[in-house]
Amino acid sequence: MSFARFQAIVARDLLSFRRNPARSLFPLAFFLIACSLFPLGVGAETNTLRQIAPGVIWVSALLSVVSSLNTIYLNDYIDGSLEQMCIGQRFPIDVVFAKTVVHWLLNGCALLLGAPLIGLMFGMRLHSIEIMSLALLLGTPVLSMFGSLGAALTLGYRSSHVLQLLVILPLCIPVLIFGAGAVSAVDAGLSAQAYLSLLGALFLFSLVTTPIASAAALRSSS
Amino acid sequence: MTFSRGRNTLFSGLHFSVQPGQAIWLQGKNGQGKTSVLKLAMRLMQPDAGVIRWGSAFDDGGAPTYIGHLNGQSVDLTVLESLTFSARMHSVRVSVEAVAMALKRTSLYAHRNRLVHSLSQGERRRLALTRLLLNKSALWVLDEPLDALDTASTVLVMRLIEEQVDTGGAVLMSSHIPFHMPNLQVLSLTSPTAS
Repeated sequence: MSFARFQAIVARDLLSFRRNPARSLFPLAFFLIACSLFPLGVGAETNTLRQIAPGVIWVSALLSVVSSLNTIYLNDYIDGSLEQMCIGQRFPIDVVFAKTVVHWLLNGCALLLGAPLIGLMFGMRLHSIEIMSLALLLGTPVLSMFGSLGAALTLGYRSSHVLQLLVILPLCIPVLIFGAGAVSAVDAGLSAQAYLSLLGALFLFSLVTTPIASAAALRSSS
Repeated sequence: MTFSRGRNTLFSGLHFSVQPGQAIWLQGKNGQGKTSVLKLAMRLMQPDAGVIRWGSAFDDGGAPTYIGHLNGQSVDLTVLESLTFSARMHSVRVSVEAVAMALKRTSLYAHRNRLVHSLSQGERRRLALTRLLLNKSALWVLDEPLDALDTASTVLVMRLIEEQVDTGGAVLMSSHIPFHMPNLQVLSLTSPTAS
């Protein structure tokens, strides 16, 4: 574990994503498209849209994260860089942290910028949008961390996509429930604090447990 | 060491050590576990039984440098960026001059600002081998280092290995291309059923 290695990996990954703008913007594009398809399917009734908005945003966020899991480790696994990064490391936690942070920047953080736009489109109130952004800020890192664990566990398997879904969806469902619940509570005139506290607890829990588990999974995949 | 893949025991009772100033050429048929031995030596895999120790003789050089089947380069980086990155992964500080010297040695200096993506297989292999010059590891673990290399580069690699051994370093390598070098020790892998 070293901070210099962490920095080097983050800088390298951001550089390589900057050289492939189409690939880096895919999660945000996916999220915006998925969300904006709902009014077309459900109908443009303002109350209905406002009611389903939190759910739509969270489900789309989850799907966008799940669909981009292979960007975390797979390329480096295929070209052998991952092997090189893990040499001499019993637990390559710096690699896991760096990869997860980059994944979050390109997914969770990008969604944080896109979500208020979708909120406005669905006619959400300003206060609800605030709470939703706060919930996304707490919840999307959890999705990235569980996602990183799923990606590390299934590295090298041929049908890794299916396995990833099976591994991480059950772990992500609480995030979805509490995240959407926070906004619904505010809409119903209640406090969102309980939901946000639970999201915060999930964040801390995954921060403590998943990096070690992911690092162990990376070790056994080579 | 004993090591199996699935139900297949690749080798058992394997015991060897690599001393400073020694070059060991690992030989064996396809699928006999040469790559596995090298990965085990790098502690990238765990043996079923036995231990691997990186001795104190190699402490100064940090972790050994490993050039595997895969070159370990991201195709989105330039030649220079790729080298600087792997040096940082190896926790060594390299100066601009040192990188330039190493690249001139492997005749890649003219390509220093090209993306790895645009390099040929042989050039990528040479780039991977350039890491050996920068990391300054006491032990090199090389898996088929001569793959995809032309005659001139093959000669260069052999000379690099000789220099490494002469300066008190050690090399553990596999190669199916015949290798001529004084003091080269051969370690043959035999399957447990045959022995």
